Amino acid sequence: MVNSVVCVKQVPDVAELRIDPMTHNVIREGVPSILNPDDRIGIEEAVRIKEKHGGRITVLSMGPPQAKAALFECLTMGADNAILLSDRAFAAADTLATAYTLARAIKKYRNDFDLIICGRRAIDAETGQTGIQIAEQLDIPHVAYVKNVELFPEQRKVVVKREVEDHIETIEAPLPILLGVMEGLNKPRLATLREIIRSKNKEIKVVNVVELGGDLNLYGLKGSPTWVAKVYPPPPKAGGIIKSGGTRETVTELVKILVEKKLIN
Amino acid sequence: MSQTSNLITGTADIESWKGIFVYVELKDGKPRDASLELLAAAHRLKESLGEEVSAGILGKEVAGFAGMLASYGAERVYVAEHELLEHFTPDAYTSVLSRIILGNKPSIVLYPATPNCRDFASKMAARLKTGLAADCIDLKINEKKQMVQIRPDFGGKDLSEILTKTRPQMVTVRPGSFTKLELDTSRKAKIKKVDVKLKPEDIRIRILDIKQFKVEGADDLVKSEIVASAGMGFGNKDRLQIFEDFAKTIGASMGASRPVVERGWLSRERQVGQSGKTIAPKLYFAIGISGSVQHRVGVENSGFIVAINNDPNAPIFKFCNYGIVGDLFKVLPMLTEELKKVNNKA
Ligand SMILES: Cc1cc2nc3c(=O)[nH]c(=O)nc-3n(C[C@H](O)[C@H](O)[C@H](O)COP(=O)(O)OP(=O)(O)OC[C@H]3O[C@@H](n4cnc5c(N)ncnc54)[C@H](O)[C@@H]3O)c2cc1C
Ligand SMILES: Nc1ncnc2c1ncn2[C@@H]1O[C@H](COP(=O)(O)O)[C@@H](O)[C@H]1O
Repeated sequence: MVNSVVCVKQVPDVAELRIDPMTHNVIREGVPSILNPDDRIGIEEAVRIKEKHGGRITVLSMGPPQAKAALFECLTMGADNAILLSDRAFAAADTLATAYTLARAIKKYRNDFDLIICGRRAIDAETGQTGIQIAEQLDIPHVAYVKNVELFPEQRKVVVKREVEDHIETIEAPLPILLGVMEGLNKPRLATLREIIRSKNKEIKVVNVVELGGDLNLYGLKGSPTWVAKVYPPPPKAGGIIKSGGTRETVTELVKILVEKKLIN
Repeated sequence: MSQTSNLITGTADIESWKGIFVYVELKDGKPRDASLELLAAAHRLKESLGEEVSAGILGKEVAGFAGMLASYGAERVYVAEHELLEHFTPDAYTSVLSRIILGNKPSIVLYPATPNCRDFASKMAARLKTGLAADCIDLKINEKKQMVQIRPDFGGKDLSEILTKTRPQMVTVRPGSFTKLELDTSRKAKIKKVDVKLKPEDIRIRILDIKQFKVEGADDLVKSEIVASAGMGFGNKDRLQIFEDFAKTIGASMGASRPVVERGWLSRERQVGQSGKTIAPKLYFAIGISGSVQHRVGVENSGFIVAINNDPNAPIFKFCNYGIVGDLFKVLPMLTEELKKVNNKA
């Protein structure tokens, strides 16, 4: 038996983000929300482990009410139940405050875990910090950049492969542990219609700050040591030649410049 | 988790944290350039802060590098040597470095944004209950003597400035964002040997084996003098043929923007930008690419940037050297033709 908690985040599909050609603002409306790709790999791995060794999978997310959709998807892939931490008090959290919130929920609702699985990174901010900080707050070890997982539940251990830059480490670690998983570990399944129907009976528990308890000063913006002071477009670099029309003349001029500057040939 | 509750009390004694600390990562047995660049970044911060620049190096036998770190700008070097520091493990490294930091209280700690350091710095930040801004591309000091941490904003159009309420202020910095100082062997540093107390049982994981592998493909991308990247302007995969013809004619390595890679039009190792490769060829072509900040940070150190885009307001025109506003399906084949003429003459 291996009990897993998988932390998942609902993110905007950044591949669909566009800049409005008129206003030059990022168009956020209509951008679909998706289950963070690395987290889908996390769910898949947990389900494979469960199929082999038994146990229970809880998916956990902190986010707005619509994140339920991402959690539901995890249920259809084979997770047993889901918890959504949703409250205005959790909003605008940086990774440390997010990790605090998730770690507290894990302790409160699933303290019998053997394994916590996170994605290597969420595609919206790509910090890759949250999982590691959950592990530290729960005082358990972690391995990041995991590309292979083998469990030995009787020996209470796991053997994983960790890929960094130009080498692969084979690592043995005790349970409980937190793993940060990445692309290449597995190929996530598509849910069957049967699973989708069955999942309608599974629980998605929504938890607010009062229910979660803990120190109010450690959640959301208040609990975040970092904050965004300013957002602005990068300064333009002066001196560029811009030609409109895209005529043959322009193209030959460009080639001439490239030859003169010895950038080609 | 009770220990977490003093999180924000770190703000109470901000004044007592002083100095700029650089974590020196080893790669293939020696300090990696990305860390030496951070010593230059630290000196830039020092101009406004006037505080000491120190470096910390951890490993099995690393004392020999102290002189080199001094030559690149470290005024004090903390050397932590131990058998159990031979390879990076989050437990051992966090235990040793957090003691160095808490013992000396630098107000700023810089790490290179390499995979191991991003892992390590995340755990350090949680241990010290402080903030960590990831993948910064620039740093400065504001009038309140706080470190302003600049990184691309996720919308793609902007940069954001992050501040940290707690101490130390920690960041990972994108390799290549700063240029290392000239090596100057007349620069000297105070060397401090750190008394490392580590027992095998302090490290909860065990490395059984390490295998090197050759990073496949796209080596050319980083080494090439000419790179051409394709963006979403191509519309779909089938229309990339004119791009390939062009790249072949001019002898360019092929790169791509992130969405092009996400859609599988070109392979992942061809991605250029924040979460892909950072390149600085002599000549760079951005074709059908809008020029988001995330793309920009990966290419802006190129020698000469050419852009082809049909939107005159595309941000790419704000940082290219030669921009053609036009339809790439017309312009690119023409350009290939003209280049062939040059090739034939030569
Ligand atoms: C955390 C994070 C990390 C990221 N990392 C990267 C990264 O490493 N690399 C990267 O590239 N992006 C990255 N991005 C994505 C980035 O924000 C942009 O979304 C992306 O760069 C846009 O790619 P694009 O320019 O190809 O597409 P678009 O923004 O869609 O631009 C297409 C351009 O093509 C032009 N065009 C259309 N048709 C034609 C035509 N017929 N002729 C000429 N021009 C035409 C349009 O005017 C437009 O400017 C990242 C985003 C996030 C949030
Ligand atoms: N709001 C959240 N809810 C649940 N899990 C999260 C959340 N934010 C981050 N995570 C987990 O932490 C991983 C890394 O996220 P990040 O640090 O944002 O790159 C993700 O892949 C998730 O597994």
